[in-house]
Amino acid sequence: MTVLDVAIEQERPISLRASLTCGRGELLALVGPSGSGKSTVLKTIAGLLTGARGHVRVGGREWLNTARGVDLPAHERKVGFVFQSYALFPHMTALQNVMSSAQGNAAARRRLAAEWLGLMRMSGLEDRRPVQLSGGQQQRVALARALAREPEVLLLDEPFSAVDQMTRDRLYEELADLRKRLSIPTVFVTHSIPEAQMLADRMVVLHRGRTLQAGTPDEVFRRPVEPDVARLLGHKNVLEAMVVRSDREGILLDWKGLLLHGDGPAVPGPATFVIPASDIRIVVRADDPRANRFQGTVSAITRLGGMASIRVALPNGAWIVLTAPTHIVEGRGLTENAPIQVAFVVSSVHVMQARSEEPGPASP
Amino acid sequence: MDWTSLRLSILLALVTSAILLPLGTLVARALARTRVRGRSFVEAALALPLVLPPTVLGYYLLVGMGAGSPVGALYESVLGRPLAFSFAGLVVASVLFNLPFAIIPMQRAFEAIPEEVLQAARVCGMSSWRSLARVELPLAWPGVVSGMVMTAAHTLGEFGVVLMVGGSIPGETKTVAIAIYDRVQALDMQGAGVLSAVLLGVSLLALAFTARLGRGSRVVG
Repeated sequence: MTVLDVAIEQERPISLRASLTCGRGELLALVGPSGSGKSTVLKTIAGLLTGARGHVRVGGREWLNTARGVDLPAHERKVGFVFQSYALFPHMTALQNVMSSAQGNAAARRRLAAEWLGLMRMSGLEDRRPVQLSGGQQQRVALARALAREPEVLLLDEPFSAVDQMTRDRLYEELADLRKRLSIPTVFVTHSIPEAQMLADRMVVLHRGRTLQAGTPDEVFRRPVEPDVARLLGHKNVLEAMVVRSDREGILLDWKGLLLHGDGPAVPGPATFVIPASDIRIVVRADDPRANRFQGTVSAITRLGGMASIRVALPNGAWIVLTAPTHIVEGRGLTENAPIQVAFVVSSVHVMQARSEEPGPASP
Repeated sequence: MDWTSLRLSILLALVTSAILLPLGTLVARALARTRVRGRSFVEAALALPLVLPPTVLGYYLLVGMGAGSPVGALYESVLGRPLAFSFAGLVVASVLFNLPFAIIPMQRAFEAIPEEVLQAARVCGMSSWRSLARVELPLAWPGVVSGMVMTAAHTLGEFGVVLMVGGSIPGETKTVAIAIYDRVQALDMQGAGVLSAVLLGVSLLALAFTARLGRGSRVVG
């Protein structure tokens, strides 16, 4: 069930044409490179930035509907917001910070604040001021403050960007735990694809202020709707080819002279295809029956932990990158300039056609 | 020791500060927050008393408050006495020429509050007034106090504008600075010396106090 429904657009100060939805208890990642407008979208939902046209609906209520002249001020929108800088009130203790967003009389607010700080494993640190807390602790206070407001929507702006890797790993687990307790839509902003893939139920890709695609992280990664999305998601193999044939059995591509079978919605003509580096196999047996087999030459090998990234030059002049466990690379004795036979998994060759039009704004 | 003029100066400083505390706070906060096009012009206009010769400012104030001006005429018709050469006229002049001394330190203090902290106040459900009381003033108070101290100290010592607008009526418009001038004119160097020493001490204390405020409690983002 959709609880948060957003469709906004503006020209200034940055151009924006974004729409997203998020259901009850759902964790949605808003993904995009720096400067793509992620924070602007989040702050527009919260009412902190004004000037966008369109609508923001939460539950049955309208927080923003420019067509009908509805625009609730930020302090009347029941939103929990965690800022990138945490933005704790420096003159207040941790407890006072959390109390500042709670409702009711002082005793009730104190009780609620202490409860949230306890859930965030911050008991015993209630009387510390923000400067006396570590980055991870400040973030927990910020999260407790956001939740003590009893929000209808939780918005997290780059929640993991300002802490070290160890703290980040712990925060991932805590967020995963926390979301089991929450029955509200939660949107978090990140520029890290792995983060979105690990945590989010669904993700929305934002690029230059446009939301390009929404779906589960796996869906978006495997079936990007356009080359920009594929590149943003870190695909190494985004390649140009011609669609020769497209029928029920799949797609046949002419890739600079190599024939390649693929998948996806495409009609004959120029197209772009993408294949995940993890879905190009190293072929050992010469009589391997698989399709999409090509002979190439290893041009570079980069090892990162247990995985190796291999760059292969193909006879049609193109380069592709595949990843394989390091032990396989060593077991096969693969070195630079060694011959290598590779096979592209047919169902993973995703073909996209360049769209002739900009995606229009979502329905009002 | 000229107690009458000292008392008058202190009263003028207190009244001016009392008016500029709320007025300056609101103007400074608005200037710190708005990014409208006219902002530079407003800031320049508010800072004019810093560079204009006091006699020039005094001249315009005198013309503006005189019985021939709409403001002066209105005041006189309502209260039955002239605005120029009165304590009330002095207060008006004092508030105007103290605008930069009150507002500039306040504005700097409001500007030092990080944008996201202000936004946090809004998403915590605070209205603009509540945010001012709970978040902004507690963070900006050193600047607000320093603006008030500068205003008070500067009012005690202002000479040119006061002389132009108020003249030198004992108990009404004759402030310490003017009394010093009168003493010197009357060749009473000892009387002038005592009053000057008092002003020197007060000014020095005020500056030391504000410097200490600025160091002691910086806003932590």
